[in-house]
Amino acid sequence: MFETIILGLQQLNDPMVWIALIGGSILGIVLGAIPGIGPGVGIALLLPVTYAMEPLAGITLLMGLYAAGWYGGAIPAITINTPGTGVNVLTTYDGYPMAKNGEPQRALSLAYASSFVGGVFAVIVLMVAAWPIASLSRHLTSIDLGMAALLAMVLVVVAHRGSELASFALLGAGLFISTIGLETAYGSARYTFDTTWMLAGVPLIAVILGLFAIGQAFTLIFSDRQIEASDTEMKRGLLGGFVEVFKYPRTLFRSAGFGVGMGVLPGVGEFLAQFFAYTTARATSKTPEKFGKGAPEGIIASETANNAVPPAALVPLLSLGIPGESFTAMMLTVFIIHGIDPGPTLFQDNREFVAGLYMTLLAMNVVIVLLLLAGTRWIAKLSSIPDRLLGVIILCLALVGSYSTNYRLTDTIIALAFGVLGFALRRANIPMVPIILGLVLGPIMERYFRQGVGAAGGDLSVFVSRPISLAFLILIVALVALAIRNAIVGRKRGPADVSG
Amino acid sequence: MSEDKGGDTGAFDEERNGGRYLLGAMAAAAVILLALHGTQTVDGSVVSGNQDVGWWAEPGLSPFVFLIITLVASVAAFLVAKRETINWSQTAADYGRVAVLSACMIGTVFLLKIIGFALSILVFAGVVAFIAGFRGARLVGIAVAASVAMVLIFRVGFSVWFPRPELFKLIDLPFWLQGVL
Repeated sequence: MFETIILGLQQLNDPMVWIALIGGSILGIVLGAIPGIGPGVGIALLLPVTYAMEPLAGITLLMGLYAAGWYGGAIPAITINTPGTGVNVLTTYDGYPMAKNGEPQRALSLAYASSFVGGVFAVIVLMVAAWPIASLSRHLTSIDLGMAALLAMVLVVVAHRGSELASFALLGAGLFISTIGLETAYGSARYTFDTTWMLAGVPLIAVILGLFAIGQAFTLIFSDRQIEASDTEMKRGLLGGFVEVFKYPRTLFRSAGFGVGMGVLPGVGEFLAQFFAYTTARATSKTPEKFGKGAPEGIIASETANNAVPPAALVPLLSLGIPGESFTAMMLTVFIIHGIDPGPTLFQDNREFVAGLYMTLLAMNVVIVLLLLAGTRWIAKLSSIPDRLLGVIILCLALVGSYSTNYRLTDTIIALAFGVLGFALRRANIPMVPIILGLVLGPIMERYFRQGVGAAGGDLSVFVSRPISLAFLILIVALVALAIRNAIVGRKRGPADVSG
Repeated sequence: MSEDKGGDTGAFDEERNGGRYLLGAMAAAAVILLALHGTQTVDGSVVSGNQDVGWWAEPGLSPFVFLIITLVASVAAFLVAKRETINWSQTAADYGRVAVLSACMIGTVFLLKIIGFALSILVFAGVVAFIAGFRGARLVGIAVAASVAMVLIFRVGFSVWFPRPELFKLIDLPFWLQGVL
């Protein structure tokens, strides 16, 4: 471990890593602090840029956006009762009442300190857990890994309770789109309609830009929402929370545990983590009646849990090569572009990269907190930028991003098609994560299954002959049955809304 | 007093979400693609002479399975979904504006090859800001600021290359300025 830390610190000598770290953190805070945007749009827009960067700098930039977005989202949640991102919803419950009671800096300070502890705790877990899991995964066969990818997708679908069937449909669509193009085993074109430009497949970057950035821009451009800027006076005193959080050690570390546990599981993520952390904190508190009225434990539970998720979400990505949600799925494309194979071999072949990533994640939490301590009073005003203006800016960025990747009009058209789909999915409140996971994990799963079944000479008993793949299969069948049961029960109660 | 036109609320009206119709469209698309399966997944259509490596590697297997998943799930979701009363004229207006914005984006890609990066973005940002309801000085300000920001980010910051536009073949601009614009 000590050797890894030294090796990681050496990677921080690269100025590009620091530029990516600080730039990603600033952008993440800004995007997180503007309600309705969130880090997903930023990650989608910056993805093409990261392909030209060194892998560590590229991943650092995206992780900066991802982690800082959740930090920044707490600011409007506390100052104007409007969560910057979806994962800061529970922060409004106690953060805003505390601010209204004349203690906005205490609420913000508690949020920053809790986020910091959650983030650092999760990085330490990542450092401790990823390598052993990767070592164990070396004993997994192609079928086991293929089943693990399938299980991750099914978990994501089932996690969208109330819209499982729509999520299954989108997962299927994502998986199908991933098969378009030239396949190598038989040298066949699949659904290319005799065009040459489709032989390379549907460009993932265009899909991501379309779904996340263009779809969001279309929605924002037609919005008349205008949030009033906070008139809360920001005084000095944002450091007090860094002492106060440790007065609630059980809430703090239990919430961090929830964040890590939920972050590692595909499809679960920040929402359930903060929900469990918050409800458990209230259930075990000596003063549960104060929850919802400005209880410090409420802020600590919510913010610690959701900031522990991003580093924890890297555990399955680094150790198994399997992303559990859309952000890490986008990051996987950076690995693929640079020829880095996440999974069992990563820790042998790219030790410098892994060690550097650990250290940048730790440094990131420090940088984000310093930026927030210095700039909260200005960041709080960002929430008043009109949605329509944000839509114009995002659309300009998405146009350049979609065209400049390959300088092909077809890429822009594909991005637009997925932008319209993203717009329609947003209107219908149908989750977009399954389609992205299908697109990213589809080729991985197909490759593993082809290898595994091929090695067994086409014998399908290979899926049940090993305990790990059999266990995965039983879990998958149980989860699918649960999703179908939920849909039927929902139907009996009354026709379901497709939205989640 | 602001000269801006307020945007419509149509895109955010939760009562007309259209999810059921979207799922119906997905099911229809899956049926059409399944009907084309035989012609769109021909063995060795690009590289002929490859050996038979087994049924598990047949090019048509995965797309077929995934399309069946899409079809079954979207039909099931369509059947269990709440019936919706759609305001068709409002929906048509919303998607009409999305179509106009999409056409602007495609037009800008063509424009890039004619008048260059900076001017194309200036025109695009101006048109989009107009569609978004901005007027007067704010419209001009947004277009100019967006154009300058894009030039600074992509051309100066990330040195993103773009093909030399036709306009620059007619005007003798300094090399560095062509690189920026």
